[in-house]
Amino acid sequence: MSKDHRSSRFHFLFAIILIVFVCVAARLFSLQIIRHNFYAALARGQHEVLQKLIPLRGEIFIQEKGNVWYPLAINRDYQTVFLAPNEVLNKEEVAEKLSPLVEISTEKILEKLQDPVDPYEPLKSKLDDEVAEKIKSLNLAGVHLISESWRWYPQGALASPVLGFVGISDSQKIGQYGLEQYYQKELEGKGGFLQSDKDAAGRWLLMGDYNLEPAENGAALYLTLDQNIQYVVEQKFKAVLEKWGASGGCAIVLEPKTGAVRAMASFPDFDPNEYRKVKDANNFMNSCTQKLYEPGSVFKPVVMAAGLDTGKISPETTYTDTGSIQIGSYTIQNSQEKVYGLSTMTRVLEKSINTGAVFAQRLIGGGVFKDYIEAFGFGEVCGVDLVGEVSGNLNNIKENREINYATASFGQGISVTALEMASALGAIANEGKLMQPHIVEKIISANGEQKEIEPRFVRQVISPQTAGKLTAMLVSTVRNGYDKIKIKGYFIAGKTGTAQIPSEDRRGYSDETIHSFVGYAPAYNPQFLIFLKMEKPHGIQFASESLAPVFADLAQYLFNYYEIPPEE
Amino acid sequence: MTYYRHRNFSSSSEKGKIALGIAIIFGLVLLSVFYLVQTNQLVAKNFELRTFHNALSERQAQNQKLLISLTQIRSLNSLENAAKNLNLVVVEKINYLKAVSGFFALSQQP
Repeated sequence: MSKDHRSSRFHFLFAIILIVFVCVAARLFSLQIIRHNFYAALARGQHEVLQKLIPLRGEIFIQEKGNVWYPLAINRDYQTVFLAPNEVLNKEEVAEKLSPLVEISTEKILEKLQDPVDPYEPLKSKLDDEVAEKIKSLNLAGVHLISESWRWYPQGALASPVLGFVGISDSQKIGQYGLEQYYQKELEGKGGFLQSDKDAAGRWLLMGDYNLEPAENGAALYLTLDQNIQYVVEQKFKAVLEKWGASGGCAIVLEPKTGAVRAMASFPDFDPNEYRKVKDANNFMNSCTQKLYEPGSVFKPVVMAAGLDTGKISPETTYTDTGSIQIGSYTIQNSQEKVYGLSTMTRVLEKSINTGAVFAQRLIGGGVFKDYIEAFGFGEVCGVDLVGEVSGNLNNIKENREINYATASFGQGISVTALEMASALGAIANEGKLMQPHIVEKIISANGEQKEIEPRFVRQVISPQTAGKLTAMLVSTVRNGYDKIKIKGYFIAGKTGTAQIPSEDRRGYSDETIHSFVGYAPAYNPQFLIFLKMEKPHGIQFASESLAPVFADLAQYLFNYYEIPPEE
Repeated sequence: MTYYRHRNFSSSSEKGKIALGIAIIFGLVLLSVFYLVQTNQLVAKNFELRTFHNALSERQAQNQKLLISLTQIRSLNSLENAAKNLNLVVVEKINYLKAVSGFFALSQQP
């Protein structure tokens, strides 16, 4: 073998080794420098556990007389079944066995199993314990169960429009509507995390270092709502709505002295556990705070309050009713075109005389009347702790037209919410002091810190003397106007309203009506105020007929419940 | 004399070195045993902790189930259904007793 030949073989070998070395170096450069982060993360993933700690959502409690609390919204662990198509051995068997248990067709399950590399396909959440056990016992490859915490409402539909529900938005569980949305920040708590070494089975190793930031559970809400009152109000009022074929309605029981809401019902309602089954999103709306309506005659106490407070009228002030009043080209008539002749202001309320309300309003003057309406809180939100509260619409009386002031005196041409109306009458009941309605009594955070929600005084709307006179007029209204509300031994102040609904397709009003009733008792030391509103009833003309009986029932129940002895 | 002393010194130094070596080896063995025991205990505690953790989770789940059942039973709808079978009578008339100031009841001593 020649020397040159040996030299070329050596060079060839050297070149091969060099190429191999360069390849190895390039590969190492790629692994360690270019893709360093990826492989470092992969390695960390194999021996480290980084777990997001999810806080428990704060619970909501409803009270019962005597400071006893019952859960209204709590967290409950449910099993969720999911598929891992990359682990499934027999697709048909999985689909056939799971289909009757999860009530999903085999075709749909097979669809989810199509991708052979897919590691996760959720199938059904919130399984019954029994169904979860059955699935577990099937022991199918690629079928897994995990425990998940969901919101559960043990009382079903009770106070559902007040509560709202916890829904899914952007893959996050989040409060929607009512208290769940309003107090989302307080209820959701604060997430934490755990970072530590793990063993081959993926379990946390005590031996290794760890970094733990515990989750902070959400705060608990304690409501002013009383579950017994809420339940009775819902049962009785719902029966009345069904009896008269009404499209909906709402009821409020308020404590006038503090603004604490003891019951708030809105129909149609829904079961927050099954909120996905609700087809019309309007059912989630709270008719007490989110729907406007023209109040009608139930508004007349407001014009009387303004008249009495300014000294323009007294309960005994008289005028002669001719059945109608002419204002410019408009003629205002009484209901059913009745003529009452010489009438006092008290009689105006007793008989709900439209021309009498206009008479009082004209004595007061438009501007002052508007100021009183605003002082009573109309045209602004009450500030109740519920999401989406709307304010009434007073645009008509801001136009400074006489006819608009006149119609507003008997509750037409302006719109209000049920809560605004209840709150305003609450001010009359509470010696002229307007209180802010509230639903939450206290908030207790996870660390035990307690925040009491104190009653909030908004303003003095009318003097206590005016409020007293008006209460006497409203007691007389109940005694002489509504036979069905007479409860022996008790003074009850109240007023009905039967308002026409503005026509949607033409100017003026349709034949449909909204009935409302507001009353408080005992009139001179009120413990409760009841407001009822029924939308589009059929086969009955006046609120004094439709709502008076249920008001009497509820008032009697509350007298007994609060153990209020008769006054006379 | 000097030679004897020197030999003596050298011998004790070697003995000291040997003793030190033995002590170091013994110390190392002791530390190894201590390390093994500690590690073993830690692993055992880890298992114990896991067992307790599992037991706690199981009891918490049972507790939650019981609470859920209790809440269901105490819900107003359940109570109303239960009350239907009791044939309860509606109270129609309540008489309130008037409290007269200056009077109070005394319990009789046995």
